[in-house]
Amino acid sequence: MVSAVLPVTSIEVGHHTTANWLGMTVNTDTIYATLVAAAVTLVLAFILRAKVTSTGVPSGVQLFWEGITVQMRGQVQSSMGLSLAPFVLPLVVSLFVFILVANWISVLPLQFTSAEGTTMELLKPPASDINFVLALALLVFICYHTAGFRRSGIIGYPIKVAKGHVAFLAPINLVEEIAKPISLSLRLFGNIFAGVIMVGLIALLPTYIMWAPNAIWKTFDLFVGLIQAFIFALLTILYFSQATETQDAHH
Amino acid sequence: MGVAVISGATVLATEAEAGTTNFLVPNGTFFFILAIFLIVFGVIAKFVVQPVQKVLDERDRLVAQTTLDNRRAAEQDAAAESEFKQELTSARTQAGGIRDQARAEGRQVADEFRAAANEKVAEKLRQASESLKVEGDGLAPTLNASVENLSLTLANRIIGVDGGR
Repeated sequence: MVSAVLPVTSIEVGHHTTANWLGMTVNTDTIYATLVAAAVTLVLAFILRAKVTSTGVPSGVQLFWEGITVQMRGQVQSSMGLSLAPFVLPLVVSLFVFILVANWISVLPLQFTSAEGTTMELLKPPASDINFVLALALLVFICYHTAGFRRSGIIGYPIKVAKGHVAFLAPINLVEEIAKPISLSLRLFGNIFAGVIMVGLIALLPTYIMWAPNAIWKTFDLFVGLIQAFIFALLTILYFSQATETQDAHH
Repeated sequence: MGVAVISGATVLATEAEAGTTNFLVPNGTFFFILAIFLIVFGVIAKFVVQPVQKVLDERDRLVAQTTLDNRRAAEQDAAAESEFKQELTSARTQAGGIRDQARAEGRQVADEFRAAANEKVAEKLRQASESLKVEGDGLAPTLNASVENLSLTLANRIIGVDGGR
């Protein structure tokens, strides 16, 4: 059993390099990868800011941002309308691009050998860290409930959430409400984390054949990263529209 | 593969037992990630979504403006076309009128000249016949006088009488 286990134990799941900042344990590898993703996003944003044009020929960066903004604006408009919560659109665009970049930076085959002699990825996808997905999901959770309170009132909103469409389903509605941030975060986490495990498993294959499944998996991982970023943004819009709808909006 | 999953779980379990952190429990990283995302959110809201929406609105406005301009231009084009046709028709009418008038004037002038010429011809004819008449009248006595001798001579020749010669 022990000999059979040996190669398997070289897969280290959920292992992070940690440090102690401000009295808290932090996963430095996650923060590093997140900073890289944020930097890429911010550079794209500043390039747009510098070259944005409405009359000239738009640059590729502008087309990228425009495409995403138009797509997300369409989603927001069709599900809740832009006027109910004006910060939803920038929030959703930020979420989508940030998660997309964060997922895609892990495709870069950058590895280093740690002091212990194990080979580690230089840029782990931040979404494979529970902190990343929880931070985003809880932010969304708080934001859409804030929007809901603003829309239906301090007392009206909790009643509306609990009551849902049928009053006797109130317990289920509450469970659903709690499940929302958990499912939102764990869906992203699970998909990206599975990608990391897959790469780890593929790395156990002999070198002469490893490249083939690795190339296939990394390509598929690009697709997974895109889809998960899109789903995260889409569900954010959906939760916002559920929180801000009113009873008479159904009729 | 089954071994891999089971033993992986074993590894996790031993890690948890050893007091190392469970990777499913969030730690301080949460707040740093949140801060990073809020910065990204702020920048995107301010520097991306706002300008992009402005650009989209501006472009919509330009498209609407262009459509309006096109419609207006088409209207103006149609108006100019009809005005042109109208002008053309009136010009044609006018030209026809002028042509008729000119033709009438020409005929009148020609008639006048023809009348004048006819008059002159008549005058000349009258003068000629008059002068012929005068000349005839002038010659008639002389000729009348010579008729006697001539007829006498002729008669004498016929009857063979030498009348005094």
